[in-house]
Amino acid sequence: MLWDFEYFEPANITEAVSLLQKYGDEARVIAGGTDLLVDMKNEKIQPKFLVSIMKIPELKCIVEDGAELSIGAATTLAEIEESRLIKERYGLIHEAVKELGTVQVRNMATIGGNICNAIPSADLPPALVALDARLKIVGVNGERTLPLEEFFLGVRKTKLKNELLKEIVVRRPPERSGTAFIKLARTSEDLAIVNVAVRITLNKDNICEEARIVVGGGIGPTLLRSREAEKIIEGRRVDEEIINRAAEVTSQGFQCRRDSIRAPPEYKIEVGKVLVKRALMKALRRVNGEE
Amino acid sequence: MREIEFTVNGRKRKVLVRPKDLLLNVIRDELGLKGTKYGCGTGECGACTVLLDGRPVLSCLTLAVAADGRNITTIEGIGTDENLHPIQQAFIDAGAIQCGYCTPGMIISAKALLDRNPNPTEEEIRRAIKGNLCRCTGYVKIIAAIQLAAKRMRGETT
Amino acid sequence: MREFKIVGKSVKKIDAGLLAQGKPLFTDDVKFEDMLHARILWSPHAHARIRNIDTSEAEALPGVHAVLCYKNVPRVPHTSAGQGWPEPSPYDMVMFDNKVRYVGDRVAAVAAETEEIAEKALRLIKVDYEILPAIFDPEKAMEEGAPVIHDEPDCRQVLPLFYDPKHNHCAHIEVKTGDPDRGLQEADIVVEHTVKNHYAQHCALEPHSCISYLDPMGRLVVRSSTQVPYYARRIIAQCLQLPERMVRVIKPRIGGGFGSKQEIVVEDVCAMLTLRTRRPVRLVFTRPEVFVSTRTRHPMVMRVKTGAKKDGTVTAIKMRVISNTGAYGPHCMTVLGSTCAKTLPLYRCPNIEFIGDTVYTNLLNAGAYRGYGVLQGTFAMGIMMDEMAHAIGMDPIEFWKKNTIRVGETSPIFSALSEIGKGAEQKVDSCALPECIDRGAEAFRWREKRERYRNQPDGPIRRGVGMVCTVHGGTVALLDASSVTAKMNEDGSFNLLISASDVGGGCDTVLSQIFAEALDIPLDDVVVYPTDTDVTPYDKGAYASGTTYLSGLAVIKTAEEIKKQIFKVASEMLNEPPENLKLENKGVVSVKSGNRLEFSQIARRSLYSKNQTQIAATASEYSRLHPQTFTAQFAEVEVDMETGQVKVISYVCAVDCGTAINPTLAEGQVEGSIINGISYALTEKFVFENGRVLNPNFRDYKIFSAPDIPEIKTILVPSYDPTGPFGAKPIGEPAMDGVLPTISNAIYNAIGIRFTESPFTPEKVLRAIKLRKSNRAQP
Repeated sequence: MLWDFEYFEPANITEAVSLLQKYGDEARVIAGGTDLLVDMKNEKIQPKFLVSIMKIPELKCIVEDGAELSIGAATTLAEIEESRLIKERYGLIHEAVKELGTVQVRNMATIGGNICNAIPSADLPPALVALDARLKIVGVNGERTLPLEEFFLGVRKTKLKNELLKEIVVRRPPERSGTAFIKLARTSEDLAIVNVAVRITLNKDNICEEARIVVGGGIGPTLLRSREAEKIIEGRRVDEEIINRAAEVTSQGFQCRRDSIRAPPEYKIEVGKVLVKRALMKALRRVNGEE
Repeated sequence: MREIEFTVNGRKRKVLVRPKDLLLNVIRDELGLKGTKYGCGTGECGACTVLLDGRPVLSCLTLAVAADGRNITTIEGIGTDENLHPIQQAFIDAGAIQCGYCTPGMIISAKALLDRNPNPTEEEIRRAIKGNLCRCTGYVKIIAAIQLAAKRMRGETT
Repeated sequence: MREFKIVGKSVKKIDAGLLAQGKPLFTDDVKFEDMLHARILWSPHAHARIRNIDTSEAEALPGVHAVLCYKNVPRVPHTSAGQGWPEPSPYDMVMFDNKVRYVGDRVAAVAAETEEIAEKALRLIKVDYEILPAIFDPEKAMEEGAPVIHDEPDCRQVLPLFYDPKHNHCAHIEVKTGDPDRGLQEADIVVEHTVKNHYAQHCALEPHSCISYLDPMGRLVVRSSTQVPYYARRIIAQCLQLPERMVRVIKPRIGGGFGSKQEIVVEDVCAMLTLRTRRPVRLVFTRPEVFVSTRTRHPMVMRVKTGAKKDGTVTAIKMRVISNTGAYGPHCMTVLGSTCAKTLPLYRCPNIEFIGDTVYTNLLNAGAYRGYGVLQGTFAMGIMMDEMAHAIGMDPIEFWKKNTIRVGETSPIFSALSEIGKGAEQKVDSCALPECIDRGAEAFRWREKRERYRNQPDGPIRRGVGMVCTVHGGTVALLDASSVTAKMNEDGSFNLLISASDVGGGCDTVLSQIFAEALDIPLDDVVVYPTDTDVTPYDKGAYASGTTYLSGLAVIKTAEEIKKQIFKVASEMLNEPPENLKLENKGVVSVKSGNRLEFSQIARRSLYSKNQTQIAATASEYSRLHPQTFTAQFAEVEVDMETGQVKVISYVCAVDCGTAINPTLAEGQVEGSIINGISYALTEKFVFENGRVLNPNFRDYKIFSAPDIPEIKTILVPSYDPTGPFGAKPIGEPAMDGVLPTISNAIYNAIGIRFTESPFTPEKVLRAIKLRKSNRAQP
């Protein structure tokens, strides 16, 4: 059951941000509502003010500019899934979004919500971090940019301070990149027990120039980008042995929450490692044109 | 309370709602359209699925105020007593209906699929109804019904 | 076997068109003027005494019309189990008690103008709890010194059955046939396992719903999502201390039951609020309430020891069972009884020992759930059979065939035990199990796959196959009964008034088919009116897979009565003796003269012209035995050795349900059972913390959706049961019984590890794989 609240539908970002500033902790942004309203029904949170951002046109966009893609925060997951541009040039995002939730959820939920709810099992953030995503965040005092990787403070905690996430900017993977997103869940519809997004970019000599290894899904209070593991791969010719080592090192960074519902921590560590290995192998096969 | 206006099954409707009123409750209690069901209230079972501007959404997680000015189709708007929608007919013919509680939401999801993709693969059908739980049928005959409906709508069989 | 006109045909389900259109057919789809909304306050504690409840603030809240708690309702010990009378379940619950026995137990209820006000009122109720130590481990519940869950002096068994609540011990069964110890001595191999199944919820999509009101005569009308309308009427009357004549129960369309609605969990409170307020009251559970405060499957701990000779003969079966009924004991004894009585007749072994106990714990309330103890027993025996076949090096198919009961044979278990007490002497009147095994194995390509997977190369993905046979005896023999009324209309059509309660399976259609077949009329001429206790005659309701079989027999008997009356009128009209007459195509024909009368002529004559009479009849049947439905089930699984994930790739279920009155509907029962079974085996699971359920929603309690299902094939293997209506046998539950062991056996075949505890979750499978690896590493 929902308890009373006031509801606003600002027409532009300025208006939205001033409402957020005015009501502070008592206000929440509502976009698709698929997580927020569930939390409100379960009385996990009881905001007094909801600020809907769904009537702000500039928050709904998918635009490529040079080698960068901007996605407006209120763009729905379905819009992202259906974007040919994203499917062709940012396949990692497509791969992550198409397995996320259900048709109904994807029609309602937004990329901004998937990020700002800061639920560790969210599928998009690892994929976006693997593409070096930055967030454009607007407050009453103007706009700032923040790497997505640094955005999360903990479970349901972010660096937003009465601010609005405006858009997400990602880098197009350079030539000779391979990416992969893998998710392990109890059923096809479930939230991830562990999810992994990786990218490896090779130079003409088949040496790895850049690697990104990002793991989500309750292996910690926030997603984990394993720089240590990336370093193992970067500057080397990638093979199964190196991948196994990178996977091992990645798993050393896991700080599993005690999450007794979906899977125990020891299990997440174990399969997290397996998934990293599989994702890297898949990315390698893809960059080599074998898949 | 505020007045909102939307089109429901082709008809303009005005209703007074509070911000917290869910589209599901407005459809069932204010508009008296009982085909849209409560199954879980948290968007997991799909029994409350309706089309919002042609796309299936969860009416149990949609604020009625957010539907202001939009176009809603419920199961009651899918076919008529005299002229069932081919998907409804296929569900009947294929034995896809047992208790029938999930059926309206399931048919709405199937319609959204076939409206966009008249010739879906079995995998696409399964993915399209992933958000609609059914405990009676094991989905086997539901999938078959959607295949049958697609065929008929393409004019390949009667 | 007979040729039929309508029976055996997959006619369309008669309510399907209305359901496809979303017509307002369910309990909560109607609205009454002045209707109040009820909400219930649930216990946050697993075990506590209520020192005091202060409801004054809640009562004072504007819009609140009644607050119920132990202080102001009659204390009537009863059972919520919808069973025959007197019930074999202990009278261990009252509408509201001054004690709570699990997290989610009833504390109080409110009726208010809106759900919101009712919800607010609940928060104003002040409860002073004295928290008591709780017991969650069923194996320790009977120990001396364990917290006593039912220490109230008025809990009791009404039948002369074992009941020892002081030791949390609510049922005990012992059965012994032959000489099991000698059987074990004669065995060449002896196998022993402890098999455990887990809690689960039915997850019917429609939550438990009830709307009650007073009719103009002041009688109580209860519109309810129940599988057992007549039992509901009796129990509501009991709890409210009313005579049955003052209560009317109406069952509209029901959104699935699977046993969960064979319990009175909403109706008594809703009706009491109507009596207090004199207004219509609506009580519809939320999904978390359905998960926690309705009913669940009995988890059992089954210690099994069996022996076999090298030639493949099973020589002994010993089974020691502890069943956990949770805080209350609805069905506590009969589910346990079924684990023996309805499972073990499958085996030709003469030496059987079964000792079973059901215990109370401060956990979820178990009750009836598709499978009803047979599922548990089959889980254990399905694994034992596979293990024995493996131990003597025999293909499981041959081993099962050799050891399963055949047509014409009997089992000592039949007479030793029914669900309750001694059972009926019976033999197996029909059994196509050998054909089920053969046809299932062929469709599944059993031998080929076994051979292929025996030689599969090492890799992260391994495949395997498993199979199991099952039996499930339908109805409760000697106790269950059904009545049917039919009357003829002017146009020669009939009203068929039944209380056999269609909860989605399609019995309204199936019984109409049987009636139409018996009178040789088209299906359109049967106007079925389902359950309203003021109108339709007594029936046990929908459980024990018994509706097609038992209500079907009552339908045929009613049709026979009608036929006699039709012949009587026709013989007057034709001036021919009834012996000359036969039914044909909605008419009566004289085999002598060839003269023909239409049913409409006969109806009009009987109503309007001469010797006026309503052609109508009511006939009853009771269940004389447990009709035996057999299945052979085959699963192919894929095990990910690195993640422990088990995926079912394909599943074949061959079923002998006698004549399938409506093959499409019968297949639907099988498919629904199998998918529910696989989902239960792999992903469904309650997570508890100090007795509190942490995942009472579909987000955290995962049931399968469409992408999760394997390729599944149902084979209806024809047989004809001479005791059933047109040869039919039950079909509702049997297929679900075999899924756990079939998958467990397939996992064993794939990776050589036997899983005897459900569910087979990835973490459990992976742990076992790693344990084996480390054991192998250390010599």
